[in-house]
Formats: sequence, structure tokens, C-alpha cells
Amino acid sequence: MNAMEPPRWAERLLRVSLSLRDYEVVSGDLLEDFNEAVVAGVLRQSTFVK
Amino acid sequence: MRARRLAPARVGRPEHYYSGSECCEEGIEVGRAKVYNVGMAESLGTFEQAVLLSVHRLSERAYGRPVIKDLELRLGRRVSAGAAYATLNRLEERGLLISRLEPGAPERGGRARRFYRLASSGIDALDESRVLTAALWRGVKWRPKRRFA
Repeated sequence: MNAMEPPRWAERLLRVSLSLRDYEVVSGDLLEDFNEAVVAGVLRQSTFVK
Repeated sequence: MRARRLAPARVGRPEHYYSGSECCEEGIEVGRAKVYNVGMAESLGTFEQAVLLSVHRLSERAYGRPVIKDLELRLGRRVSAGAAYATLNRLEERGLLISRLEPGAPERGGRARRFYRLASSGIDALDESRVLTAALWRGVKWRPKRRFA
């Protein structure tokens, strides 16, 4: 698992639990959330280190 | 995630209004509006109203994620993504929302975004909910005595 990518098992879980119509849209929204959380975490960490 | 298919909402029909099995031609005057007998199954729930209003508020930016964030801001609580997406789907199936797919941006791995906008029946439904709420509160002097305060 890449540190900047969501876990593959989560992607797989979404793929099996959502319809094809919803999968792309929902996983895209969650990926945006994930990236925002990662950036926020990195910023918090850098503030803490200072 | 797909909600079961519901009958299309019948809202804002000034001439005939079907409520359950009966047709109600007679409405009651509330201010300048006329309120028809709305069956519980046809009326909007609070969360549905919140979702429709979020879509209206966000206008051109109304897709899943901003809608969820706006709902959390307005309702003052966490909103589960599942509940929000299911409600958006249900409102679209009822004909109250219209969606369109747009190609995704790099920050979402190129995955498509589904943007929503209010259909004319969605606007009617919101309007009707607003009038109905006003009708419910009309004449109520809200100074309840709390016995167990």
C-alpha cells in the first residue's frame, strides 16, 4: 500500500458493495476525502515537528 | 446503494391531488397558497428536505462530497455517506433531482463526478413542505410550560 493511496481492500470492498453506476462516483468522492485527510495529516505533522 | 423504486412524487398539482387512494380536489387556503391533502408517503422527510436544500444552495457545485459537508454544517452532526448517497439516489428516482456525470479531476483519480440539480417537481416539493410547515405552526403560541425542567 502506498502511503498516499487508499488501501486496496477498501477499493475492493466498494467495488463489490456498490452498483457500477455508483462505484466510480462514490469512490472518487472518497478519494478526494482521503487526499484531503492525508494533506491535513502531513501539515499537522510538520507543524508538530516545528 | 440503489433505493427501491418509488412512485413519482405528485407535488404542486393545483388541479387534482392524489393522496393514497383518494383524489383530493379540495385544498385549504393557507395565506396565499393552497395546501392539498398530502399523504405521509408522498411528503418529504426532514433529511430529504435538507438534501434538496443543500443541492439548491450549492448550485453548480452540488455533487456528493460538498452535499455531505453542507449537510453536516447545517444539521450540526456527522452525516454518513451511505445515507446521503441513498437519499440522493432516491430523490432522483422520485424525479425531484436531476443528475449529470462530468469527467473527474486528477485529485480524484480521474473518476467521474455526479452533479445534481433540482427538478421542477423538486422545487414544488420544497415549496409545498415549506407551506405545510408554516400551516402546522400557524396559530401556535410556542410558550410551553415545562413541568419537569
